[in-house]
Amino acid sequence: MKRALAVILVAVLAITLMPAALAAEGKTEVVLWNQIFEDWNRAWSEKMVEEFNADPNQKYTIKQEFVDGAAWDEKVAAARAANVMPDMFLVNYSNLKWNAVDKYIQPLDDLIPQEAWDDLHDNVKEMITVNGQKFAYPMMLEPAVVMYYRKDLLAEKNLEVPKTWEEFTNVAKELTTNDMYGATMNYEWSMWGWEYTAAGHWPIADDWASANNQDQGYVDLLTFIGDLYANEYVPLQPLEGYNGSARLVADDSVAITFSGSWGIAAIMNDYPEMAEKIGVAAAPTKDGTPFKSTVGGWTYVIDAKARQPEGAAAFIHWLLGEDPGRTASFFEAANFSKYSARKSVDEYLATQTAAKDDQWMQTISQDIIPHAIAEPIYAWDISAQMLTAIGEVVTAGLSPEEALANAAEQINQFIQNNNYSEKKPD
Amino acid sequence: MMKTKSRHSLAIGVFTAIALVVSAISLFPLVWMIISSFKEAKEVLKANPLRFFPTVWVRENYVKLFEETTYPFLQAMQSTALVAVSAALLSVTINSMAGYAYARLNFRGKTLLWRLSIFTMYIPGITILVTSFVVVNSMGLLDTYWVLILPGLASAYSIFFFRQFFLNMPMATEEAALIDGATRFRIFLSVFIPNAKSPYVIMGTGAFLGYWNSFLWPAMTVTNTQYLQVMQVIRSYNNMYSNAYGVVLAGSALAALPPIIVFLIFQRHIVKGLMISGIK
Amino acid sequence: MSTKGYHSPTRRMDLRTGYLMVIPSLVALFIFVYVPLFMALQKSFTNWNFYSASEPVGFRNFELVLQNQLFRKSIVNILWFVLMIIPAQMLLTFLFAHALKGMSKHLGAFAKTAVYVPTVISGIVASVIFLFIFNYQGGIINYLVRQMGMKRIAFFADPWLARGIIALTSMWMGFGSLSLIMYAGLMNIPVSYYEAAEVDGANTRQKFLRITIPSMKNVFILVAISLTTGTLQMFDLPYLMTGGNPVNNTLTPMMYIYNNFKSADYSMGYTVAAALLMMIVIGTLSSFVFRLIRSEKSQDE
Repeated sequence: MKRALAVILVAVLAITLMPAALAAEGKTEVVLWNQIFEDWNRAWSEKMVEEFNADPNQKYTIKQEFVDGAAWDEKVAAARAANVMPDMFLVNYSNLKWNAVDKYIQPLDDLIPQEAWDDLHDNVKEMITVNGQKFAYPMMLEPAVVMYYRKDLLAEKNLEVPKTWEEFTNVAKELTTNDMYGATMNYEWSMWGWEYTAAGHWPIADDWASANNQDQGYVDLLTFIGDLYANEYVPLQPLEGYNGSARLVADDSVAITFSGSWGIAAIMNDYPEMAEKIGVAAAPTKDGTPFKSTVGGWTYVIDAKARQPEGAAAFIHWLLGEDPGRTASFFEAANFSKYSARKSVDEYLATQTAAKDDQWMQTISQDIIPHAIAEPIYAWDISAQMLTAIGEVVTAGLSPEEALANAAEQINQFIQNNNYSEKKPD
Repeated sequence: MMKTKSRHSLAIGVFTAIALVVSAISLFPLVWMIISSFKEAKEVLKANPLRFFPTVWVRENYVKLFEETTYPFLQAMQSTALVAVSAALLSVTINSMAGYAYARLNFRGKTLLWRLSIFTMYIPGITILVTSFVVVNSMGLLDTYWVLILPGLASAYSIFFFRQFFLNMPMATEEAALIDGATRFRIFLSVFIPNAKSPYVIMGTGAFLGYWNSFLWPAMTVTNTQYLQVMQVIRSYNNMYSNAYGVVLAGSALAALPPIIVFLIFQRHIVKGLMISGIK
Repeated sequence: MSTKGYHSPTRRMDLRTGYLMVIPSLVALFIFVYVPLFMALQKSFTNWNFYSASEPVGFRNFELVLQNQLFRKSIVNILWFVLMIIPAQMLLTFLFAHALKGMSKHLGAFAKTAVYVPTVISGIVASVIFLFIFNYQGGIINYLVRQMGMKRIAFFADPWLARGIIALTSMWMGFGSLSLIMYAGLMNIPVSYYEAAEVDGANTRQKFLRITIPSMKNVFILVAISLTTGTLQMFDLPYLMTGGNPVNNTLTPMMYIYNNFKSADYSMGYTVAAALLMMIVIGTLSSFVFRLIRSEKSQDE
């Protein structure tokens, strides 16, 4: 009897301890949540994970899951509440700061080697730093405001690519015909870049204690936009949302349009035959100084409660911060419609890939990215008031000063209600 | 006599005209959806009043739909059919039983329980989106068929509808059966259900449709390919292929077929049944 | 129609059968609705942070929601939608139900199936189609407008036109199923009522006012409440068609809440508080609608 019990005990111990023993020999699993992006993007992500998992030198193996963007925020909120977040996931730069402040992600300073940090552009390093700590390793950048124009149509009328607002209004006027609008001017979230460039600061004071949206820069901006609409050089009703506007120059709807750099991918995919007739440039400013576009994009972060932070960091470093050629393969797959954050990768792209012949890529890397700024992190309510002001000028005929004053009142009310100056992260 | 006849023809004419106009307005988008699913990618989105029909009829959208291996469409249709059918059956069972009990039976606390059930009609889904996820996760239901089926089964509106219907049925048959010694439940099974085809059909097809078209909850709770629901798959095409509207329309056209077929099959019953319902 | 006065020997059986028959739905509602609801309610009084401890903030979230300009605007917008949609939809479906009643069997069957089709079409497809129809450059409406020599109309740039089109799309989607319910209600009125009235010498108008309308009161309640709760929670259509534009004039409360979900501007406690406030609005308005229609009924008796 005793013997039987002993045998059973040993068997039970063996069965319970065996999995642990096996795991110690195998690799540790690290979970990654990616989003369902374009098929080439997904293919690249899958290939990279396969390569990493096949590498015998790595101690970790990655389990990658793809989540639909339309359900992303809900799924993340729910996963956090239920404590089932993955080790690492993708985040948009605009959400990065708040995720860090709310302590949902952890700093990576000690997890990723210094050379990788040094290789980043300075303006990008700022975008990922909160309270002196770095919370992400950037994957790519996507400037939000790129001007797409029809080279052939401008050439027909001997027009130069506009650099100032005055030139732009004139070009839009010349190119407006019965069948085609000269330009578009959607006022959506994309207005951030225009606002900052026009005034040199955000419409809210640095300490977030009051509105700061009534200086001449803003007045001029609203006047400029108002004129375009009043003269109908732009369609009174948007033909397409901002994000999809690039196709409007390709299908003969308008002559000049604005959209994010992702528009390039749309053109290459759907209207490749029009590619040679389309040019890109930085958006115009009042006096011709460089336009400061906001820049968005996706980046990898590590969850604050990650079970395998070193594993996650190992993968992130391998994928994005190590071999420039490996990271550059992403941009090649993207047809150079997305931009790198690292100097060594930029160099690699410029010298060793087809990028060196790509006009669009050259223009954006040289004229737009170096001046790009991070998206603002104050509440959307404030940005919404600025858009309301533009709307009042365009549709209700208010003067820019009046509209901006109205917006200032609402913004101040909001700041007061929410004790907003206390919300600002340091 | 003549006057009545010509008035009659005028009435028929008017009704026919109304029927045709309303039907055209209702059917037009479905027709557009099907025709556009045969258009080339860029033609789909460019609004052009003169180009209703495709310049070139392409099958490419449907081909893409079926060839996609990461998000297999057919499998999603099957998976969704499984969920929608079983959920619809379970749903009408549960809700009709409750409706009958609130309509015909007497028990302590009935009013309170009834009010508690109806109150849930006013709760917007998003209020409990995150917390229901926490609940189902703690029950270990993620990535199963259960998480897709169970949460939506009990529906206040459905219970309300059944109750109204059952309140209306004549007491006579019931009392006769009672005197014969039948149990309440037996009466429910042999008297009420057979005469209640219409609410079952309406609520059943309604539940089926709700499950068939759901996107957010499945996107949050299932990632395993075998459980993916058809709306998840259709929407993912929009992300994967820029300007994939043709594929989305093709998917939507195919996905719209089963509910329409279900309705066609059962629609006779709907009208006839509701005739007796007289929601009073 | 009394449901009381059963024989006592069966009463105990009632209890058991009664409970047995309602338990499945109650259990389901308890686990999947009430438990999450109480959890959410509790969190709405905190600044719900998932990873750190949530600090209680009393009614502050509710206060902030009620003070918020965008939320207030969305409430104004949704009330306009309610006013635009509910009376019009009730009238149209009621009238069409009469038309259905007058049709021959085959024509009626065709019409019933045809109007049901939009119910099946998802919000995404419906919004794309209506955006197309009212597209500024190439939409059919503007095409006709230009053919008539007038200037193009920027439908989605004007707050009222934009609201109108969204309301139109919403009505188009709901017309079919609601008409069928109205139709059923009409068919249910015993013909004998009308015959008796005719014998008494009533004309068409009197028959309509004295018989049809009172008999339809319950259907009206069902349809009106269904429309009220549905319209108050409108999200899909404005989200897909205008994104709340022009300048937040088509922003609905559900859109506002979903937007908050996605942004880190406010804590989740705030978002849930907003949703709970909407719950109160929906409940209140529904009771109001119910009383409104019901009280008129008792007058007629």
